[in-house]
Amino acid sequence: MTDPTTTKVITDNVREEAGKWRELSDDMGAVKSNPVGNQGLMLGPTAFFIGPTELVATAAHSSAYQTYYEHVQKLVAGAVTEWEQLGGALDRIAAEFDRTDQTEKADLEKIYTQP
Amino acid sequence: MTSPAEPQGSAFEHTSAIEKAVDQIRENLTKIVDKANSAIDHADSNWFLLSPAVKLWIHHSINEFKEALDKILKYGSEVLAHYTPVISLVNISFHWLDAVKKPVSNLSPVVAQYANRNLAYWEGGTAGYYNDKVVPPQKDAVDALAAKAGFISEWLYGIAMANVTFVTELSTVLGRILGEITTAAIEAATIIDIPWAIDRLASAVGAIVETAVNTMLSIVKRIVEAGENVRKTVSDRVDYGKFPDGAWPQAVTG
Repeated sequence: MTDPTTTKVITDNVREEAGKWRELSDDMGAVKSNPVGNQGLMLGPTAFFIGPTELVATAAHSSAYQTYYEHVQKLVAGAVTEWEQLGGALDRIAAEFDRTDQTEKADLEKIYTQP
Repeated sequence: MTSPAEPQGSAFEHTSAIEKAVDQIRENLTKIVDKANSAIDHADSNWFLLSPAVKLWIHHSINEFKEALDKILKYGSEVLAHYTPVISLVNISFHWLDAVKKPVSNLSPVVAQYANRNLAYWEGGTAGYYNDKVVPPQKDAVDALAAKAGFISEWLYGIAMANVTFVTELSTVLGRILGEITTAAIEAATIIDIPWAIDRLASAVGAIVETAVNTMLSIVKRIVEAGENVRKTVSDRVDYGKFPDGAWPQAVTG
């Protein structure tokens, strides 16, 4: 059995963790492109009431919905970016572990800042 | 508005219900207009046989009937003119559940677990920072995002179902009115019966329309309230604790 506590194995596992975040970024990317990001969930004022238009001021529904939708779009896009960058940060940690031949210390300010 | 619930059944089931009701409305509107016109023509063609007092009575009944009919026919023609976007409302309430909430929820356990369990042997400040400061905000954010998708799905679904109820009610009512007109046409077979038949038709249709309009207005009220409540709810849901400045939590800055 491989010793899971060696510097090499821990470093490999940190790299594997980096890959996890990239995959997560891709998965969230799929949510973003279909249907959140491509305006696939857009609803205009006429979508909220089937009957006589003067009975419901659906512009309120539509604008509240639009604000919410844009907020969610921003969050989804944010997750895609953040998780991709997190993959990069873990790769930088692994590179630092390789260089210093230990796994406990690194300049975290530098690691977790996008180069 | 009744407390929101997650979409039930399939989008198709609900959009079919709308389309079925709309088809019946379209069909019945034509029939009602044809039959109502022929009933009025029938009365008119016998007009010269009636006494002035009866003429006045019929005239009043016909006006009452036309007024009630116009009110409900307007609802019908409005529905025919713009039911299509409401089909999108139903579909999109399901998209938020199936294409956003579910896949995002599925990411949550992946965020929380190590890709390799042996990463548990990683120690020191580098590991501590990752476990305590990096992962938890991401986990909280992904859970909150799934909840947001769930909330908006339920909100839309509630409004969608109110619309389904509205259009189904309208379809039922038009069917009943058509039935009343058909009955009146049979009753008015003889000249003597015309005034009675028209009078009965006018009050029957008047009562049906009044009840139906009240029912439909109570459904409308639910939709109006959903719009009024959502602004506050939407701002409550921004959740700055999990989304600093309303944005995705940053693990990597710059």
